[in-house]
Amino acid sequence: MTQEYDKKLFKGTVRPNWCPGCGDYGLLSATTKALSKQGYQPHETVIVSGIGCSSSFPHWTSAYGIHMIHGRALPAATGVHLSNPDLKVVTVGGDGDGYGIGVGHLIHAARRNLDITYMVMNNQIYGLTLGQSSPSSQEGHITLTTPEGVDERPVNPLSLTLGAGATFVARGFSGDNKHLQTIIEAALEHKGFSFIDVLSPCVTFNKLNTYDWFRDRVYKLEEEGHDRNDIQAAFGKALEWGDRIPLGILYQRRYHTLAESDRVVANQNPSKSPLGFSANKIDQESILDEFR
Amino acid sequence: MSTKNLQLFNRFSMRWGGFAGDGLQSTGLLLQKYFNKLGYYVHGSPGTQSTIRGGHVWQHVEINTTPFSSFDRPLDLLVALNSETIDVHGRDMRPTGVILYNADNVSSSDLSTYIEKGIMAIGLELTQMARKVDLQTSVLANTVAVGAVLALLDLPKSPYTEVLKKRFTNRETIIKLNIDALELGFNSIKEDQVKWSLAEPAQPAENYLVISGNEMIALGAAASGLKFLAQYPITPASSILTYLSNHAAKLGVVVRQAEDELAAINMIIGASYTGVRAMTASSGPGLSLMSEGFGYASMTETPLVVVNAMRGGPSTGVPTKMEQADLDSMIHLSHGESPRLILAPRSIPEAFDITVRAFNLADRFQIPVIILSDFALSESTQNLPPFDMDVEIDRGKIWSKPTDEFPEFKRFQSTADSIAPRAFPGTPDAQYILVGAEHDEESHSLSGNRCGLPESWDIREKMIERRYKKFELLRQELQGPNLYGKSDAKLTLLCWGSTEGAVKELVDEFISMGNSVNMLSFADLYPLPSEKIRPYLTNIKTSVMIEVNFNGQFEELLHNELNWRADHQIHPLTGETPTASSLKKALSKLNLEEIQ
Repeated sequence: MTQEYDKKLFKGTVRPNWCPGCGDYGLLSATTKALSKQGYQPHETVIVSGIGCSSSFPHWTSAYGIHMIHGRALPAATGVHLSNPDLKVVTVGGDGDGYGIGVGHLIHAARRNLDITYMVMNNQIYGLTLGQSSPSSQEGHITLTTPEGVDERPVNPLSLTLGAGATFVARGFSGDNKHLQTIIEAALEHKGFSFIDVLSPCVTFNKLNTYDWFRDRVYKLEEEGHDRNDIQAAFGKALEWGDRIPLGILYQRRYHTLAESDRVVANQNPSKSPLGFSANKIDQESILDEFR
Repeated sequence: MSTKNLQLFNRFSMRWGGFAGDGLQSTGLLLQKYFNKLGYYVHGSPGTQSTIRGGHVWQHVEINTTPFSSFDRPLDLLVALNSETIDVHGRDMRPTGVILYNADNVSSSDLSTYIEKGIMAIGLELTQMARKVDLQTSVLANTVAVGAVLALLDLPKSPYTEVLKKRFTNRETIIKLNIDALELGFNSIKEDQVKWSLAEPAQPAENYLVISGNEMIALGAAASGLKFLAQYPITPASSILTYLSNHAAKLGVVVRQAEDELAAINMIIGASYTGVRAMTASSGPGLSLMSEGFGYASMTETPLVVVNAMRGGPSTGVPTKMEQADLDSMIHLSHGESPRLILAPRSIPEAFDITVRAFNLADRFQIPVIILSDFALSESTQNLPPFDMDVEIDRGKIWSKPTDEFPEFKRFQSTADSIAPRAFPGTPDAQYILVGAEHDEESHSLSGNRCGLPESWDIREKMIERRYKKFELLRQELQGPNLYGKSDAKLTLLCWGSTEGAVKELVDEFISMGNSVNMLSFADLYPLPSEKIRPYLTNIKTSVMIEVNFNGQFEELLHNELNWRADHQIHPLTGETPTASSLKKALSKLNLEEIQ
């Protein structure tokens, strides 16, 4: 796809209040460009987020959006998607939102194979609350709440979502915007639950996992012949973290989405169907007769 | 069948007791449908425990030749499938009553105290008889007992066969086994045991439906155009989920069993944002989990309908029993000051109407609405006439394109009534971000770089005033209490929600005894329509407030808003649904001169 597209179509009128250099700018720019490039319209797109620095994301776009309460972006996105499956639903948030308070919903959104995209701006720290450890903080990391270093193992978002049945699992890096955009484009195109863990450095509170720290370690899966249809290989790559950190699409498969299997959504768009019994030609008597 | 003089009943009360898993609720429902078919008026009330097998459950079925408002405790017939039934329910027997017991599980020595009082005991080997019909199907013992009960009441079998055939459509073997069991039970009653007969209803219930409170809520929602239900199972709200799951395709409702109540309420917020009517239902523990999402809906002016079928609290409390103790927590659900509407249906028929109103008011005032039901209302059944389900649907203000009044879209534009139109995703030129942070007219958040700046001070005050202005307008739309009886009665019984039926019956009884008693019952609880209530209160001579909680929560609300208190209180807290008899007993302890 080399055609021209309006790179500013999804750009909002409100200026982001993220710190200069924040990794979240990378995802914002890659996402808004990808949405426009693929032909989506702002008024037919809903961007849903939770709470945290990164969750202000929808405000910086021109789309519809829901800035939810902490951890509940995915349930809200589920309601949007199933009520009006014609809308493009993109869900975003941070690691506290998605891997901490809201991690339960991540598992269920994945196993339901909702046809939505979920991107977590993973900075391995709590930024908005000024520097506490996060569920994805590296072991040993000294933070406000771990003066002797984090003594818990971090969550592994890739093996977690693979295990939960996600049909598209990827990792991007906001220090490589072009590559990130290609992953987002593939995620938006994917039919089913597409998940991207986006390494998104916090320049203010995480002095450990910096842009340079990542640049020394990341590599691209597609350059090393990874087979994205092989779930065992995907699990292997999901477990890789340390000297080498894989970027790209770990896994992808086609499986029926919830909107395809739901008895109602498969046949109609609930938001466009009329209200009431007579408008829907529902025979009242047959409903009432069951009670006799 | 018999030619001798039979004792004639206009109202007949029976209770079935046994182990959980004996299928009593299902037999109770079939029996109610049977009596419904014969034109009687019926009420049913289940007694359940949090047990799947074992434990003790019961099902109360009451039959009347005229319409009535509630079941009552005293029993004409107790069907005891086990001996615990006699220990638990024997005390509710009328002296003229009969205990029909399963002689395979109950020994006659268990019954000696009742036989001494003159109560008749009939033992049938129900289990063995059922085994004669089929070795595998143990619940056939219930059908054997049904046969015996019909014989005792001098009633025909064939309408029960019809009810069975409808219940087990296309399952010929099960139908046949049940008919055999029914026959066996019917024939086991000797002619000299038949002493009863039910009077014919003067105006038979024709074509009536046997339906529960939760089913009425589900139908009310579907008739109102519900498109999305997300719910997590919990007693006593689960039957809403079950009913709508089973009718999802036919009714066009997306039904999703959420992973928890947090997901449930936040899913319906997302659904409502797209413009569909959305609902969730739960009980106290689930509502506690929903509180943050509920506050978000209030803050973002997102219409929602949330059913709370109350059970005993706090915490796990008494999960399968009735209580009205969540009123305070529903008024204050979530932090900060967030307007909401609370409606408490007073009867099974009203559960439908209130649900329809809930959806319309939610849309018109862009506010979350709580339908405050309880175990008794949600899980009880009664028969009622068929009704029209084509209801008036009012979606409130919606923006789809520029108009003279709203040339451009601002989600929270200031208007005379503080209600601005909603626009739904898909509408061009109306994009906005729903946000739980305080926001301006365009729904831009004030929590970031604008927080604390002078411009935000004004917006903050304006937005709070805005949300409470529409709350006051809503208050004016709400309805005052139902007055039952004469307005100048010497004694007024006050109640709210599901206890209305029992209180009505009590008022009838007192009036028939020559007392001057009336009732005020409330459904529109919050915001309290104070000015519509005041004239009723000033008219009261002596008052008794009946509510099923310890602290008198509704009375406190009346006190706060109208500076009014009742003279006496009854707070029945055993967990058992109040009935006319149990309330009469509680009233008699007050030694009121008005009802001597």
